[in-house]
Amino acid sequence: MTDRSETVPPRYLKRPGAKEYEIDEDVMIHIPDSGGIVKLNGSARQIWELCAKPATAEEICAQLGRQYNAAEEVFREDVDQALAEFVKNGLISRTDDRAVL
Amino acid sequence: MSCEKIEIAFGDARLAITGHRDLLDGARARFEHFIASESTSSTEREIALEHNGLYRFTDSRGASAEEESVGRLLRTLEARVLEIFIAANPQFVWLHAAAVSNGDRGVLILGRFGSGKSTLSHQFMQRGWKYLSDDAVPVHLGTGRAHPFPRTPNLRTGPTQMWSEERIRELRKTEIQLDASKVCRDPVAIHGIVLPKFNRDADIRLARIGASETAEELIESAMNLAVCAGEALPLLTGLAKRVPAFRLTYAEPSDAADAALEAFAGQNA
Repeated sequence: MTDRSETVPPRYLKRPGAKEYEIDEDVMIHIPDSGGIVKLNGSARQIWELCAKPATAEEICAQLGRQYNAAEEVFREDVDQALAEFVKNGLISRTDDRAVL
Repeated sequence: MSCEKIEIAFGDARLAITGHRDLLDGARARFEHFIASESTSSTEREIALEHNGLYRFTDSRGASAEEESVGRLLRTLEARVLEIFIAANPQFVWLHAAAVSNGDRGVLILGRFGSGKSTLSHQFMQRGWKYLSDDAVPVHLGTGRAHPFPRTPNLRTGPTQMWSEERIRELRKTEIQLDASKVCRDPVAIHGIVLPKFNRDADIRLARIGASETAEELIESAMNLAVCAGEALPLLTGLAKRVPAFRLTYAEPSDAADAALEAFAGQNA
């Protein structure tokens, strides 16, 4: 039997219930469950927006690549770092995190 | 020794403070503008001040503290009363700020400990503005208006701000006698925000800041966000987008107030 988590890359989705407040170029995000408030700007905000529908890191990189007409690999490190940080702050859920989704 | 009582109130909270006259005079001076007009036979909550070697504070809900001086006891009392008023009035987002008004136009003065909130609000008052608060401003979550919370203002004496927070805390604060006519009695709309920072070596500098930075400052200053974030965040971000905000670095308080007033006058011209 194959462990599915080893073969299927996780998808990331904005935390259900997260409230967003746009202000200038930034977005303030409030996670009611935890009470956390985070401000995102620049590329972090873009990555967050791309989690509006469940997306893998690869899909996010591909979208950024199309947007900036650049190789998707260019974005991989930043995307992985941002997603890890978002998960840590409770801003997004991983689809393999069954307790959340 | 005879024990006396005063009752103070704000919004939905009312509490009694009891103690010997010497101690109660200090409390009365701090909360002069909160004294309840009618005494009730039983107040739900009571804080007792005592001097028995140490200066003791006891809350009827069980909290207590012992301090070595009257000044420290009264500061502890102030902090406790503020906690009680905040908890009993969740219809407000409470900002760590000062506020003054000119007619219906209110200005919030945001800043961390020792930044000069009281100093600047005092300067505004000397220019005819009215006083809402020098340390805690309740902003109504429904109307967005700043409500008066006129604790007797305190100004630190001496060259303060470039020092550490601990050192500043040691400096004596002087209560400013507050003429009732100088106290704003009605909620006011917020038309401007200023973030002062004392720097004795700096030339005066006033810089407009963006809405995002302003929102961040407002959110950081909110003392009860844990219980009202859902309502407070749209209010505070909306406020940040709507009103001008300035960082004000200054060495001379009088110049700082003039510069801030000129900037707001320019915005409203």
